[in-house]
Amino acid sequence: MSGFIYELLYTLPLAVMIVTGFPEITGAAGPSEITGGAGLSISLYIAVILFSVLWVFLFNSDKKGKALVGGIAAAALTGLLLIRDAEERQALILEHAFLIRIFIICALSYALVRLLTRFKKALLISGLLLVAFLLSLMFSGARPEKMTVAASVLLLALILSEAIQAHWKKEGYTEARTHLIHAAPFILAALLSAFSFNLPDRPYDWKLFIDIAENIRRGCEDVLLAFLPPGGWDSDDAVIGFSERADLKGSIRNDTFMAIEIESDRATDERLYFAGKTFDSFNGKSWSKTDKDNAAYPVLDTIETMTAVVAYSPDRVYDLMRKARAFVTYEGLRTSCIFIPQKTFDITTERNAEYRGGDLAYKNRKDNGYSLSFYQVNQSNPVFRDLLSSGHKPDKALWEESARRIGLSAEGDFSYDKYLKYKEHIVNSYLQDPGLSEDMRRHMDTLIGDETDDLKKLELIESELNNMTYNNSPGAIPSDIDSGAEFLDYFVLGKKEGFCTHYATAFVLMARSIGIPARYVQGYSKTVKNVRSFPVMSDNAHAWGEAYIDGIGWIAFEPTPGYKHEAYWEIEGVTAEKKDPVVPPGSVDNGPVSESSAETEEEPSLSLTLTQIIIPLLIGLSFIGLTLLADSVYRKRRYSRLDSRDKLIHICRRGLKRIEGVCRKREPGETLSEFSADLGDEAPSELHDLIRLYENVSYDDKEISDGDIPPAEELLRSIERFALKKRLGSLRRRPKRK
Amino acid sequence: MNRNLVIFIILWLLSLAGISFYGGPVSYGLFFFLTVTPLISLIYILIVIIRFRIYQRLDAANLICGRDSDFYFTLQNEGPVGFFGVKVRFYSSFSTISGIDDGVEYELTPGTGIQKHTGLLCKYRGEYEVGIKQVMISDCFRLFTVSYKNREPLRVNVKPDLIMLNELKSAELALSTSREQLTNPTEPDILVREYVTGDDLRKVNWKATASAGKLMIRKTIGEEQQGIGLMIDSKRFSDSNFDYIPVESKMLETVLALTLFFTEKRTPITVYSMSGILSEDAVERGSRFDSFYEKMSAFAFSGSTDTGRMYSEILRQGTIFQKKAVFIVTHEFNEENRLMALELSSVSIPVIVCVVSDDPGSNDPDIRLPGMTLVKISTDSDITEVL
Repeated sequence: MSGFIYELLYTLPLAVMIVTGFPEITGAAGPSEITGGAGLSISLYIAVILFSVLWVFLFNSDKKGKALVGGIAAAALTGLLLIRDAEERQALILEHAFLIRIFIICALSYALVRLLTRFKKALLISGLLLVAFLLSLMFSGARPEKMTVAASVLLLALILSEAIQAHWKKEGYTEARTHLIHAAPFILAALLSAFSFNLPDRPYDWKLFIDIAENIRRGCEDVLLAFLPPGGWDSDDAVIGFSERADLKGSIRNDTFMAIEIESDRATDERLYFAGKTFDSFNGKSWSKTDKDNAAYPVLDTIETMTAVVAYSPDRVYDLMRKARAFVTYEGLRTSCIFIPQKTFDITTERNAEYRGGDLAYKNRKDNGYSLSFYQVNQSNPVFRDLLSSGHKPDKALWEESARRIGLSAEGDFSYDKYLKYKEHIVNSYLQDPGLSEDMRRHMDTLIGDETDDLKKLELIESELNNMTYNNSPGAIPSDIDSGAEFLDYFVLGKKEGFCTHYATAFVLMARSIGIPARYVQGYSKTVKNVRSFPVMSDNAHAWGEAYIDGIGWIAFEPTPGYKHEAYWEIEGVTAEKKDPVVPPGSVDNGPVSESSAETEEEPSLSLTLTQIIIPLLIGLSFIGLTLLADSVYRKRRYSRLDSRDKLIHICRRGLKRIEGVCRKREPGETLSEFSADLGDEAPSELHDLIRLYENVSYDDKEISDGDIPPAEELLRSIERFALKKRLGSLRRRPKRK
Repeated sequence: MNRNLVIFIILWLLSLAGISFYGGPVSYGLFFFLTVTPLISLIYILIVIIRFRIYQRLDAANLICGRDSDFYFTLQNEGPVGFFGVKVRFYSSFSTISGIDDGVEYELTPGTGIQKHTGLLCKYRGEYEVGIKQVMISDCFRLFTVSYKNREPLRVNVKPDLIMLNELKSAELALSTSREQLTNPTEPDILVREYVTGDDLRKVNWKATASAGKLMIRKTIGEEQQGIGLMIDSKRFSDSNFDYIPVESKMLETVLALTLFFTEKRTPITVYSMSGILSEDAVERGSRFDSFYEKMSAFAFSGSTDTGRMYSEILRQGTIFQKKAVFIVTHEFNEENRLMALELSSVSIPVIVCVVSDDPGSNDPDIRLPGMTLVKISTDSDITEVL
């Protein structure tokens, strides 16, 4: 039994490692072909386990065991042959061809295990090869199956345990196989625990520890600042985080803390933009805000977008705009800015705030949070993109109806007249032409080409910027750059790398240069995936560009490389032509995959008749019976050819074996007399006689005649009857616990 | 820190580097496996601590100091898991185990045990623990070794050894001098002794008195001095059994050896000891010696014993003055012992002070009192050589 378990301990993981590590060998192009797409299936593992057990059992069992295995194989083969239809039989074999390969792999695994465990040095070398294999997988960036790695680690641990045991001087039950069998449960427990964890593909970012270290560092800095004289922390670096200023720095560094926490009533899967402050004027190095208008831009913008959606699809507004609520709590942030997503229409803290050039800001910061209502816009959906290109312009009636749909009154600050003034103001404030250089003009002409649609033009600009390089430290902007045009020459035609403020600036300036009002926005941006509550960290601070499309409102664009995230929800019943979203390399998500309604083929079922069950069973049993019979005949013939002394020895050994099977095994070093004395009344008197006979035969040179054999055989028969009775008796009785 | 643990820590640090730079199932798998393995090892060790049993047995009902006894112990695995590395350490301060190496590690499969038959030699008399002292358990990767004290130690009561002295070299001179002191320098055939209050003044021998300068009276026939006196200083001088057990064992060995010597010579010997109250044992050959031996085997030293009070009571009783010689067996030649020796030697009773101590050179008296012999006995010395 110990030999069986020992070999199985090595064979099974080796077979699993090969099968899962090299799925091509099993005959499938990939794991999904075996299972239908969900990874390696349970049936595959069951097959590996069964075949491994079969091979190990075959070579570790006695003749009866071997006969049993042979009988099962014979029954299986007979069952297969009984499938009359050749095509059906062939289809069945082809469908399960991978089983045959697994069968062979398990056989080869077992053969390898037999070879390696025989030579301990070979086992050690194979351990080193395993280490090399694992390291090569790691260094090459390969992503093998979890089970492949688990099986490899298990093999490694077993080899290591055996190697340690070989060099460990001990007394007692130190046999290597027994030791490994008893060590295996602990190794398996460690393995199962270890591999139950999630094993991410990305390297660990140590964010938690970095955050802890940063918090400690900041705490120390705060303490030191309290004692240091003012003005001691001058730095050219900008810290990643929201700022009410919009200077383009040469580099940014991390200083992570939780800025705000957002809780929404709806789980969402999108990149959220929470605008804190907008800017309208750029001087080559920094943005400033000259817009002093106190109109409620965000609400007017929301109503404007609603008019477009209502005009486009009055009964299916929900498909393009969904109401949501959010609660924003300030955590580590000290600012008067109020952060709101696009298409906000109701903010609880409005009474304590005021609009400054389109941005909402606290008059006196007392509240630590606010709730707001806004609309999630299905912006990336192709239907919405069609709407953006529709050239819609709302009239008063539509305006009033849209306001009503939102739950607002189209009077006062939200009247149609206010809207018209608001539009004029946008054009006046956010359409300053940067005055492009000749080179930049040519560049823009090439980029835009013959495109007339404003949305597409903006997408081209966005796409071009997305294809540039993100760099936290691109270097300071040259001191001689003091206009938007010079900046564009420097950045778009030259540098082509920077971080969000550079890209947002470039986008806004380029949009304005083609006659589209645009603004630079600073706030927070975070990709969320189906969560309702999430922290917004200081390093989620971001800058982006927004363009104004007449009749639609402000639309956010993401020009920063690697930040674009397009996700939208499907509109039921609409089969709009899906355009490939303009996604630069490295962007996160291209939207949900629509469920296909692919029909599954009906799998052929194999119906078995009674004949097809009974006959293989009979064949199998016959095989076992015949094998055992043949073995019995062979043994009898061998026995009959022995001389008297050898026969007697054979009889004595058989008798001992029978007793060892039902009483106890002889201990190593225990003599026959000691064994006999120790068994005492537990064994029948015939055994004691047989042992005496055995000792006489072994140590005495006395001549043995044929006449000595029958009494010995009679002793053996008595012992066998005793052993059988004892076996049957133990089956009837409940086993006693020690 | 053992070698395997060092290697393990290095591998764990490398796995940390692996997950920091590479990611993926290989690096994370190895990292988690290496992180979890020590926890599993510690759980395993906990199981062993709970399920490991030691059975110890001594054949002899009575143990005698310095003599080998058959000692059996069984290390039993009563748990469901294999024990991969179990080591036992034996008590060695007061006893030794022969025939077995202290550093052997054992492996036990579930339900099995290892029985060993060895010899136990107790070095000192007294009550103390013998056999297996400590158990050390290692896991299968030999990362950790946890040791703990044997929860069921074997406590034994060891009797003192009985040593036969062939001669008493240290006391011979004292004993012979005492005979000279008893003779009358002016009239050698008339035995005299010092006057004791209550003696008949008509017995005063004026010639001997003039010669000695103090009242001396004639000894009457039959007024022989009665055998040997032996006093045991039974004060326990330390709380640490590492200190007091060897000394007390040697003291009792000395007492028994002296008592046996004199009883064999048919010289009566009276042993004075204090175990709460003063006890005076007149020991003779035969059964009285056997009962004396049993008494000494069970003799209890105590830190509260007042040696001075014991000596005062002995002096008050007066029987000590009739002794031919007096032995004091003590652990220290302190002031009380010195005064007692002085008291006795002043009445011409030879005093042999046996100081049992391992402290070299301490308490050696600067003043050698006439009639006093100091014998120093260390705890590991052979008293047949020393006495």
